Amino acid sequence: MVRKILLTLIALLTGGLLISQAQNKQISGTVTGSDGKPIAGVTVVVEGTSVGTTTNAAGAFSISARNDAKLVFSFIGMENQTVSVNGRNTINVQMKEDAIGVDEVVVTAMGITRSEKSLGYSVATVKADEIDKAREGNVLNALAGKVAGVNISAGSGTAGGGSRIIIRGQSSLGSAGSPLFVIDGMPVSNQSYDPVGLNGSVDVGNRMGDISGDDIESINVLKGAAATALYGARAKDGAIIITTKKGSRMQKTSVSINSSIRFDNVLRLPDFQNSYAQGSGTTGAYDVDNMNGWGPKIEGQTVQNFLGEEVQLKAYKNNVKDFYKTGHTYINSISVSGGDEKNDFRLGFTAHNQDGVIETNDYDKYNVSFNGGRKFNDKISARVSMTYARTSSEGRPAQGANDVNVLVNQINTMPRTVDINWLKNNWKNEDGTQGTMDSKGKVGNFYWNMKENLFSNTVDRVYGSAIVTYTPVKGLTITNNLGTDFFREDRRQIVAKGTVGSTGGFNTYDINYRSINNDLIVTYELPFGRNNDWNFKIMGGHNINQSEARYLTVNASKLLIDNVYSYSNAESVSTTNDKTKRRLVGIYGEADLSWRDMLFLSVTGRNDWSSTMPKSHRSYFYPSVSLGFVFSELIPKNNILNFGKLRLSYANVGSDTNPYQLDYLYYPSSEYFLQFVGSNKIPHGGLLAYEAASTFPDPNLEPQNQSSYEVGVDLRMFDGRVRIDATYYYQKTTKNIVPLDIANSTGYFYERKNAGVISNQGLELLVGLTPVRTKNFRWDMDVNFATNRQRVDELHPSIDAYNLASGYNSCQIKAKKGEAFSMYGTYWLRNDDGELLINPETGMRVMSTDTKNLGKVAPDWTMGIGNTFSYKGLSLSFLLDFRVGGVMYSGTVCDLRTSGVAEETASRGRDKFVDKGVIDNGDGTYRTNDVEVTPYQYWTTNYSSKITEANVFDATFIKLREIVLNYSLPKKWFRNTSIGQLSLGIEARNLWLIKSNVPHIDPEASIFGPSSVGSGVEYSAIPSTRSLGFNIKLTF
Amino acid sequence: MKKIRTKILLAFAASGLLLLPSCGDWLDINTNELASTKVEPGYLFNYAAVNYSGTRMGGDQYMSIAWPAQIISDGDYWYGGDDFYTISTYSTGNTWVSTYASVGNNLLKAIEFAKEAEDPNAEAQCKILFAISVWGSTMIFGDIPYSEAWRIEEIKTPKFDPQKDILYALVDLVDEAIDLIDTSKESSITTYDIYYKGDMEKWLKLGKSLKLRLLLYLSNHEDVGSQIGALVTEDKLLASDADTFAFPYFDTAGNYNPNYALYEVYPHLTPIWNAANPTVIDPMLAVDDPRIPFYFDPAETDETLYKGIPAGRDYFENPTGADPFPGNDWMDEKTNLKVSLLNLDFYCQPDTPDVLFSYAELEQYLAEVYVRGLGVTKNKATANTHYRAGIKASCIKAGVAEADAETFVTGLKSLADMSDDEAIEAIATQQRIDMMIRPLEAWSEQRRTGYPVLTVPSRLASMYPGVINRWPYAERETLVNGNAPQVDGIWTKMWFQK
Repeated sequence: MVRKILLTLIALLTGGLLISQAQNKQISGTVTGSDGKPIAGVTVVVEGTSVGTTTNAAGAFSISARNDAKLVFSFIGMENQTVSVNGRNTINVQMKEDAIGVDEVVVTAMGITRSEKSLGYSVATVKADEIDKAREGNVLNALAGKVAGVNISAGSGTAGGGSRIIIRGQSSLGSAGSPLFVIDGMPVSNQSYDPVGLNGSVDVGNRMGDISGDDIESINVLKGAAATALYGARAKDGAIIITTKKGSRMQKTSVSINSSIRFDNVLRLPDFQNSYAQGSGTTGAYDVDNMNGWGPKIEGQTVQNFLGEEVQLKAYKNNVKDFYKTGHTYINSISVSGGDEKNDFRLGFTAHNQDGVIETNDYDKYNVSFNGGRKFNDKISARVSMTYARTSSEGRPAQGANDVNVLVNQINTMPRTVDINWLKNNWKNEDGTQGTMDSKGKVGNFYWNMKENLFSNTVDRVYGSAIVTYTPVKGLTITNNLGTDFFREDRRQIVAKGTVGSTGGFNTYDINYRSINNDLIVTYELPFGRNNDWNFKIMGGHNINQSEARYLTVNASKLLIDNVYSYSNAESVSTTNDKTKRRLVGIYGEADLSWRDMLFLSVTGRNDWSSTMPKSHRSYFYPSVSLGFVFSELIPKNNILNFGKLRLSYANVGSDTNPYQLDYLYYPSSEYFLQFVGSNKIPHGGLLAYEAASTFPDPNLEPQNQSSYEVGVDLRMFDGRVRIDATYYYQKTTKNIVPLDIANSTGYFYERKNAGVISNQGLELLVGLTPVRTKNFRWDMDVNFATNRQRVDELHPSIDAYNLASGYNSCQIKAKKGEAFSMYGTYWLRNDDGELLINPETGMRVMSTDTKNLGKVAPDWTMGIGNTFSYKGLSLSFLLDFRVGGVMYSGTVCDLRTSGVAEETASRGRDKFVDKGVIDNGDGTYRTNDVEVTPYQYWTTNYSSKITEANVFDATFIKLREIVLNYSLPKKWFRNTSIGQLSLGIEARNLWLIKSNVPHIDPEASIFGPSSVGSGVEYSAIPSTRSLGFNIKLTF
Repeated sequence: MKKIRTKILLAFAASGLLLLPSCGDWLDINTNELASTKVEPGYLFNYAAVNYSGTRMGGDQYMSIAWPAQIISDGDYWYGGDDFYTISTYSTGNTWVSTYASVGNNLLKAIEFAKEAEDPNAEAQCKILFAISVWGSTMIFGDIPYSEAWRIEEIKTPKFDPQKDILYALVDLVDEAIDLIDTSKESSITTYDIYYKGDMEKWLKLGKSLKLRLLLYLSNHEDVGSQIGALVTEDKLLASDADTFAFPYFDTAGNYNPNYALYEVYPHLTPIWNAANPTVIDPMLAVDDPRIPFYFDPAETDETLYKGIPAGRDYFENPTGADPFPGNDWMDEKTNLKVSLLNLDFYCQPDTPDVLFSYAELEQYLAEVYVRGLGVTKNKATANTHYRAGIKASCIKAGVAEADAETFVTGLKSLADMSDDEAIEAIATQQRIDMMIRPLEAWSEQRRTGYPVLTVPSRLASMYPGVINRWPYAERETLVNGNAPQVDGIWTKMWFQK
């Protein structure tokens, strides 16, 4: 039956490719450890091919290979073994523990597996056991702190929220710099469509969040251009190669269950004052209508609350805390895997069910994945891997500003004297409209926004690939990999009728995405020379890729009847649709030459033809070369240096642009901008409108180009107890394709051009130590450190600075020549001694009228320190994550301070005081400021959102990212049961913000989505969470 | 067996062959089917129209001119922004963008299409709207790019032309438009003409009236009397309120007046941002102007009290910091307002139009022409006729019954009984009252005539040697275009000013 299903699936996916009968020889055997016990999960690969299998629980394997083939056996922590078949039918192998660990097989570009030893560039691998140590909803987060040079940031605590990933610094002006994601050879989408921007945007997550970590066997991070050159343009920002779990041939069917339950709490809440009530900042009088802390001291006075009740003024210290609840996450997965002598399969199901820290925020994700392989004969084998993912969520809160549904600012600025229960029980009026927090019915109760104005979305996604491998003659392998990734996402944001400040309405967004990819690869391998000292391998490939996306946005406002979300129930409906389609054809090749186990030279080349470029520049070629030199082969075997390798590489890659950027076009318009309101709609009075392009196109764009150099060294010492891997890289991106700010007086906003040179150089250092290694106890420590220096070397001569993204008010992220991407904004004026200038009339700090660089947004360096202690079946590990340097802007902090609810606003009571600063005497001298101001004046003026500097902070932090305690119950306990393995774990994530220089919030918060070029701006982001949970893993 | 193998090889080869060739055609998909390379001029004209009024009303220009130019007071509720002469970069940027891109560039493209279609009327409509927009922009920024603007292929950083040259160039442009108009032909911009529905007679009158406005803005320094005289004598100007050039808004969601849209979002703030300014309400109170209850609400503390709060003052002013709040001139101790807010019915209805050129405005221009004797014989009696006609039209427009309006204007002191300066001041005062919710025009008239005389709000006196006369240039332009002229500050007078 299994076989039938497999055949059908394979036939379907390969478009009816013909299948032949057995040709190669079937070889089977058992793999044992040095103790003679069988080892499950050993990878067995026919050398020089991508044909492979893994051993089953009994250590048995079966693989087809030619008589003269070589089999490579690899397993984590064991030395690789290469065994020649030499006509045998049975091969039993005993693996030796590998303290050095250089023979690991890694997956490189185009799915080619290579021994790590042979690489001329650095590749980081994160294995399944590391990924599901403390399982994450968004699999990207599992990489945080674990790979040097990879920066992961989760922007908010929204259930199902997104994560942004940047490898080795942002390299381009025009794109967010997200790496290419490849699952089983199929490039998949990690898009995060954000049509709303800063005003009321919702953290909708990123598409890699759809993937279940439990289906992943390994993640290989290809960082440099040399590693990714074969992927071409799409991988200019690195590539994340994901290999999913497979079954093994000759393995009896086994079932694995993995269950976690986690409790999520807000990691950090603002520090509030609890001494002052709401009121008028100037008079200090109590005023129930003010949402602030500028009123009288809370002393039990009798006042009227917003419900009109006589109450005694009292601080409800936990009113904000009590708004948030404990969220729950349940991750349950079950997988069945097995195989006979020709087939293997794995079927997995994962359910992730989460309710967030905000009452109405739910997130559910279901994955069904299948991976099956069949070996038809010695020459032909095929594999299909496919996943269906469905995610649905409700109640993701709006963030940012200028939108009634932005929650956090409303929660935080709630007066300290408000009992959260008053709000909880009075959010809806009897007439069905929004309850209010003031006496005049003008400030809405935010429980309504949370409960009624729900954002919901569902994603249905399928991705998968079918691989057919054919080995007609010795050394020659032909592989075809056809894959697809398609999804549909529906979103809806409601603003219920009766909401204060809105007439009610809803927006829907439909997103359709479809991508197909085919790679045809031919490899030929030829050992030659005396003792086959030389090995030559050549590979040629052909790639076609097409992706298309359609977006439909419908905005319906002014509903006739409540809760009816039909477009026909709205007085005004406006629609916007968008559609893009792009195609790429590429041919590529690689030639590898190696001598003994010492020298490895690899040369690649790829030529792409892109539909998005002008015909004259449609075709572009890029090469790479890398060299691995195992210098330890030259020195006699010793106990100090067990292994040493030098890596050198150079690569150059080109990349295209987005579709439809060459023609001068007129676009039908559905709305126009209105300051502080957002937009008004077209048709206006029934009349439609067209607008001319706002970006002046360049019909002769050239491909963007990136060249990079990398040099690295890999050392394993003292019997593998010390491992050092250091890499220095330099990369330079030229001919960035960007819409350049142009003088508006030309009639345009931007002119699309090739412009700018950006360089990134950095150092990555991995140090692995095993301070203790005894029979039963082991302590491993891994430190990864990365620093990246980004510099804008050149910009287009017409501009002084390039605006990458806009924050609030004057805050902007800019690229300026000679600097890294930095935050720009208004600042307090100072004299030459750095003292603040004070306005003698008002006592307030004098604000600049221009903007300046307030710091770069990327960190100076990052570091992860992981420690694992294992004793028999018990292991404890924890991970510390460091980020040092870089700045961020926080609108949340600004709100807390200007509204007088932040702790520091009450630190001096409400008495007048004199700000530290000087007054300009007008003759070049200064006198000490002596003008008194009230705390109200001080905070609302000096720390207003108009002064960027006041709200910019050093984003340095140290976090205890994860702690995992795991216990594998001894196997002997289950000797006579069907249970193969049982382990119990306690896992905690994002546990402790050990150090931070940003007040009130988690410094990782950001509201620029994963697809934005900008970063470092936060405003009313949902606070991040700390989770603690339990895990049970069972195999039988 | 061999056969099968051959088949497989063939299949591989065939799929490879299918993929490799015809690569060129397969890649020719870079055409956006959601956009067009050619459009009707009316569609671009309408885009310019909605955007121009979208910038004029609401957050970008309305508040940012009304407050600093002391036409409406905000009682210091806007965190000390525009009324403290700190014009937001959004306001300057969006105004600039409107002039050059959303309005300017689209109209120029519409003109190209109209020329191609040999439709002189459509061309004229676009040119007149274009001239209005550029006039507005030079009134805000002074010297701006004109002669070298909108020529991206040759000029990336256009020079800034002197305001005088721009005003003359606009007169020429309007002359071109007037010459192009052929009232016997239908324009292709008829349905898509939201202002006049393609009525070219009205466009002709508007063109001539606009030319008169432009000439008056030259008249402080240039001798343009003969041109003005010709226009006035010909008398083909706006003839009644039916000719008023206004952009309509509708009581339909998404088509609201931007001030109303702002009110919907900030219902508790918009009213208190719009308080009566003494420079407008005091002259009205002095003559018991019947427009007062239509323009303003009485104070919260007293139903019969109408009163303004000067620019830069704060409802909550409490200089001694007394606690509890003792109240002040504008607010009592219970924080009830003692000043008038603007009547929402007047300026903030969903369908309140954006008036770009009113008949009442034209009548006051004519009154001025006769007082000053610009190209006509000085005649304050004739001037008074226009003066009264303008006020009457303004009153009726505000909601005053025609008979009451008539009684009011006949009771007013005649211009004939005033000195020339007094007459000019009286006319300027009436323009300001009529233009209270047209801040750009009101500010421009105040600077052109010098009336009323404004002073720097006391809180700003130490920082600014004079009242605001211009906005700073949009940063988005000056960052990439080094041609912007240096001016001392926002107090620096523009060329057209007295």
